[in-house]
Amino acid sequence: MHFTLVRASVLLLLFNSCAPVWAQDASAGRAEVLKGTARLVETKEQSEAEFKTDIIAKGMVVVLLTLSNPSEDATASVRRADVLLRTEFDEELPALEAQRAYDRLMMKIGGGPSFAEFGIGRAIVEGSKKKTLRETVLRRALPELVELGPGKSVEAALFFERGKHAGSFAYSTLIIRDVLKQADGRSVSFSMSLGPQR
Amino acid sequence: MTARTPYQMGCVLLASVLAGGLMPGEVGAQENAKKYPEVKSTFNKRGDVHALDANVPPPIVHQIVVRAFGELELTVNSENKQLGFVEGGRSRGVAGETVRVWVDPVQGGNSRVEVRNIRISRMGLIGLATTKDWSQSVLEKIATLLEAVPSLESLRARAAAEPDSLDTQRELLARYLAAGSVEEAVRGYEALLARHPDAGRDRVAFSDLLIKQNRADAALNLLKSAPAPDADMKYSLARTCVLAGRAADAVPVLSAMTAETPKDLRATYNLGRASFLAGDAAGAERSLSAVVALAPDHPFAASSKAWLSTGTSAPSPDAADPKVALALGGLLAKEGLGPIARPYLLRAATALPEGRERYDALKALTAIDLGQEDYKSVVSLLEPRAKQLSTAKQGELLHILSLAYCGMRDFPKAVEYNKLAAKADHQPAKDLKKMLETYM
Repeated sequence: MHFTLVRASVLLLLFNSCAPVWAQDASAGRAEVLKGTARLVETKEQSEAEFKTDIIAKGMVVVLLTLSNPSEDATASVRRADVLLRTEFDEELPALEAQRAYDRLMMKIGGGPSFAEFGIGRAIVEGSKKKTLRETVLRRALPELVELGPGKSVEAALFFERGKHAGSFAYSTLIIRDVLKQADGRSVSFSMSLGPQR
Repeated sequence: MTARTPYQMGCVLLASVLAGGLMPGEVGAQENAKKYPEVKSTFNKRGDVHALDANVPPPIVHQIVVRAFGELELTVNSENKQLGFVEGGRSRGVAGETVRVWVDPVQGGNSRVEVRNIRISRMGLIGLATTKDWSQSVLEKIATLLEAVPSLESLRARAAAEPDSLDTQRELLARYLAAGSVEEAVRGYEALLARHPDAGRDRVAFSDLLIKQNRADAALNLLKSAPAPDADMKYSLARTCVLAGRAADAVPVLSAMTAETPKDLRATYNLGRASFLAGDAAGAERSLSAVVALAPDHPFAASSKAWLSTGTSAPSPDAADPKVALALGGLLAKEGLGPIARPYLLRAATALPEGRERYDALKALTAIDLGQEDYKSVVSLLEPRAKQLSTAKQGELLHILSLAYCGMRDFPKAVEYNKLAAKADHQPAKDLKKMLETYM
């Protein structure tokens, strides 16, 4: 499923059930237009608690992002393609399209059992997995474009490929580039550290 | 709604499978829409495929193929961007389809897309009847998505008509880079920055491109001329100085940053590293020790200790003890400073005796070259040693050699070395084996 444009009000409805109080280790970021928090999901336990599946074992990490627009008159636009994770040693990892994260978590085609009876079992498991992943990964992923009107906020998940990065991402920084402030057409960048950085 | 027993559920599933098999609509619709007839692939092992030609470069077509899979709700199971290969499909447990797509470069920077659909059934003919041939749908979707990709000419026209739109300029630059038109990209960046001198992101991207082209002076001048540079821009300037092999020029930039914010760990660490590389032993010791004291659990502290354990400052690569050269090269490579890691790793790879350490140096060295798409360097380093590597069961290095030949699109050689890597029990080589067979 591809999102092209989703208004913040719709997202608010979608994510209202998520707890707005993020983990206390989340650090806050601030820019002219937006404020927000970012929480890292990088262990099996955290992933299973949030997504009912082990995303980490599939070579990904997740950042749970909240953004709000405190402005009284300006709308801000954020594009998923402009979000990246910069590690402490300056490696830049782009945020994955939600569909790519979903694909990585799905079962391999043709890798199924040899007998039809087990195949039926696999069909049931696969169907249930698809449903879970649609509800967790696809529905919670940051859309390709988010427009945040004055006073609106969004909560969403960003998926990143681990690549060759060894160790924790807690020392990395989430960067949102070119957040467009529609009132005057100017854009600003926004960054949030994911852990105890100085 | 009443709950069903497992037996009833099985019957329902079986009935739906059978019903799917007897439903003629899907097959009929496909027969009517065969816009892409079956042809023999130029690669024998692919067999009969359906194909289309695209007048855009393979990296762009590859992205389109992945999108097409998503829009058709097909799962992508594996892909290889270097080769332009995507494999995925749809599974319903008892039956399914594997769809393979190859994007091959053709003359003039264009691409050819070939698709092969493989039906899978665990229920004999009954299961097979429920499967579908996705070749037409996939190619149609790719063609539709390609129609939305503007031609190079129209991108140029739009960029000329909308000089104030950064998005338009960036789209044109991305196309130049995907097509490997570096000089046009250089001119494009110059035009963009002349119009938008504040576009820091583009200034840094342009400087990275210039460094890759070994144009260090131009890259440094570009960053030095940034109007009202912020901390990120100053940091980029310092990093580019280090990458250009002029670590001494990075020291004053980072010193000013640490003077302004003494607890800036990133700047302090980078100052220590730049001082170390510039031969300033006292400065390196001071900054790297400060990092350890400020944040003993931070990865910067571990790296600071690693730098200091190799000595007080970096020796020249030619004069370095081979073991020190390996340690320094490894650290530099790990921190993304490949261009300056290379001479140290080369020294280690040539001066160390045959054995694990030499192989480590070769792995780090060829990983840098592969990342830079410098396939010829990988081949010249590893091919003369291939027999030795095979005897020593160095599967990873043989696999790297195979990947370099993939990059050069010399598939017989790639298959030959990949076989040796698989024989040495290297798992990624085993994974690549099946894919590579379709390039013969």
